Formats: sequence, C-alpha cells, structure tokens
Amino acid sequence: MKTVKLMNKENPAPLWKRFLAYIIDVLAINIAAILPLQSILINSESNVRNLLLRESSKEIAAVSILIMLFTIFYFAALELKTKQTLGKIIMNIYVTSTDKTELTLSQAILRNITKPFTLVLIIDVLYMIFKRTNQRLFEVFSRTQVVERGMLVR
Amino acid sequence: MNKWSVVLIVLVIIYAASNIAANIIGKGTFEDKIVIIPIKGVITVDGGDSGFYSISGASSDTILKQIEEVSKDKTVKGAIFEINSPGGAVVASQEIADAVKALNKTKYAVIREVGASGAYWVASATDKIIASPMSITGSIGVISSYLEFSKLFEKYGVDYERLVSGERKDIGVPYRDLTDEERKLLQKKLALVHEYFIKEVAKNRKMNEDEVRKVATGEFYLGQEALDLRLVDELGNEEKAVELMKQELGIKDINVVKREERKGILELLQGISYNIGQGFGSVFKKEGIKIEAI
Repeated sequence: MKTVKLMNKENPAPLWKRFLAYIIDVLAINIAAILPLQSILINSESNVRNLLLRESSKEIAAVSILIMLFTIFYFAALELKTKQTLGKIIMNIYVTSTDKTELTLSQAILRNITKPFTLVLIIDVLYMIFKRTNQRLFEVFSRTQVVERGMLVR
Repeated sequence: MNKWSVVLIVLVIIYAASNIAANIIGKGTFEDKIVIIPIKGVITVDGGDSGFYSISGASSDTILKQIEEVSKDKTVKGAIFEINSPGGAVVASQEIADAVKALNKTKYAVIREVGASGAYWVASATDKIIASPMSITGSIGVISSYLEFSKLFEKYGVDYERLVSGERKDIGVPYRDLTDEERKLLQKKLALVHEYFIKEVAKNRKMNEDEVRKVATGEFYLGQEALDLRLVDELGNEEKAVELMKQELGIKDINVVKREERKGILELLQGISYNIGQGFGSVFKKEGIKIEAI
C-alpha cells in the first residue's frame, strides 16, 4: 500500500510572482517616496536643462540619492522585519536565508543594493535565468532566496 | 506586530521623510537661483471655486507664502512671476501686488496667454513685464455684474419676501431689481476701486495717471498693443525673461527653479471630497455682491 503524505516545502518563487511583486513594490515606493519629491524634478524643468549644460545639479543629485536610499530602506526594512514586502505579501512569497539562519541586516541590504540601479539590476536579474533556484546574482552573494510555501505529494 | 502594520509604518516613514526632504530641497538650500512663481487661474484669497481637483485657482494665501519664502532665501537672486490669469478678486490681487512690490529681489512678470485685470495689477508691481505678442493683457477695470432673476421668479409666481434690518442689507440680491439709488451707489463703489486700480498701476509703472486712465477702459490689449501703450516692457517668453534677468543680475550661469504648490495624496482626496460637497452645497449657496477686478 502506497503512503500519500502532504508536507510543507519551500519552493523557489516563480518568476511571474516575483515580477508582479516587484511591480507592486515599485508602485508603493512611487507613491510614498517619489510623489513628494517629483515636484522638484518636474518643477525645475530648467534644472534638467542645467543638468545637461552644467553636468551636475546638486538638487537633482540629492533627489536621486534620496530615492535610492528610500528604495533600499523599503526593501531591506520590510524583509528584515517580516521577510516580505507589500508585493511579496500579496503574491504570498517571502525571503529566506539559504544558510537556514534568520535574515540579518547586512543580508537584507546586500540583496537589495541593486534595486535603485536599473542597469545593475538588469544584470542582477538576468542571472536568474541561469539559476534553477531563481536567485538573482546579489541573492547568491547575500545567501538569500525568495520562496513560496508549496505542498508536496509523495 | 502584524505584517500589514509594518508595511504601513515603513511606507508612512518613507512618505514623511520624502516630504521633509522635498521641502528642504525645494527651498533650494544649495545654489543661487532664479525662482519662477506661477500665478494661474482666477485669483482669490483661498484659491477656491476652482476645478474638480481644486488646482485651478490662484490663492493669494499660497502666493504670499511663496513670496515670503523667496524673500527670506538668500540664494534666490530674482523672481519671475509666470502669469496666466484673467484676474480675480480685488483684495486678493492687491495683496499679491503689494507683496510683489515689497519683495526685495529683482522681479519680473511673464504674461503667457492672459494676464489681465487683477493679474495685470500684480504684473505691474514687478520691475519688468514681458508678454507674448499675442498675450491678452490690460483690461484695467472693475466688474460686479450678476444675474438678476426677479422677472423669471415673477413668471413662475415666486415672490421675494424682503426681511431686512438696515435698508441696504440686501443690495445686489438676485431676487429683486436694483433701485436707481442702489445702482448709483454700487457704481460709485466700483469707480472708487477703479480709481485706486489706476493709481496703483500708474505708480507701479511710473506712468502718468491720465495716461493710464486713457487705457483703463476695461479693454484688453494684445501684447504688441500693450507694448506700444507702455503697459508691458518687452515681448517674449519665459526664456527671454530668464535671459534678461541673468543680464541684469550679471550672472551667466544660474539655476532656474519653478515653485509649484505641492499636493499630497491626502490633499488631492480632500480636494475631491470638498468639491463634490461644494457641488451639492452650491445649490443652497446664498448669492451676494462680489467685486472683482476681472
């Protein structure tokens, strides 16, 4: 007689779920962080002109740095505290440490350090295609993984 | 703690920090700059009676605050008032014009599509007015017209039950016709405001009062006509104004920052609910006399 057993297992989160979770998170960050700051960028159209002409504008640089910091803070703080961000809660996926310990602050920051840098993030994400565990490059570096709790039938 | 609460707390922290940062950076703590202050839509004290999202009117309260900030900010070398307004309430226009006059920086006005009446009053308080050749400007006059429904009411058998204490308390209600005496009285008050308006423009533009009186018929002028009548100083746009200001300040390279009233999510929602409420409320609103420099 065959034994059928249901057990909890952590499977790598599917890419589509991760993608949707990321979109939700980007929207949340846009509302919370970028909306108040955007007036500076939009209102100072001439700043953009100055940026092109003068190579740098301290105001635009300050806004860019702030958006970077807020983005990293959003992902790192939430993942450290709840293992999930808003998008991950909705998609029912979460972050774990691959070395089976609690997620540390350095891990939370390192795995999210690429989020504000589009070009680096693309390279980081492309790495997922070659990884069976659906890990980004910086997830490998930080020894973390995004998983979903699945039911395995044996 | 519930994970939803943690998400909410983190988002609120980011939102608050972002707002604080926006205020600090928006004030331009870093570099010397020319600030552009927009004056768009009908000028009123509170910017009310505006569109659905309550963003279309120019509030003198808001503009005065912006002028005060600019006045205190040592990095601001000059201010350009970007005007696109048909004018508005007399008091609100005068408040802005007085604040502009008192501003201790180089100040220009750029009239875009329209800078008429009260908005022209504001423009006249600056050091230089730049207008597009096709801008509508001038319209130095005062209006207090309103709809009078007594004949319509009469047709439908609706009577106005007049209960007043103080003979002229209901002057200008739309439910009865004005008496000749009342009409004269109102006309006299409009003439007083008009005369004040003329004197202010003459003083601001360093023109002879009679010269202003001749053009203060309430007629609007196109930019080119206004230039010929000395109501504006230059024809051009915002870029020309910036260039002229740079020349006057003797600075080749300077940041140009536009001050715009920032609306948060809560304010937008508040605006929507206020305007929906106002839509219903306006049905019951008491009509009264309003003197506008439009």
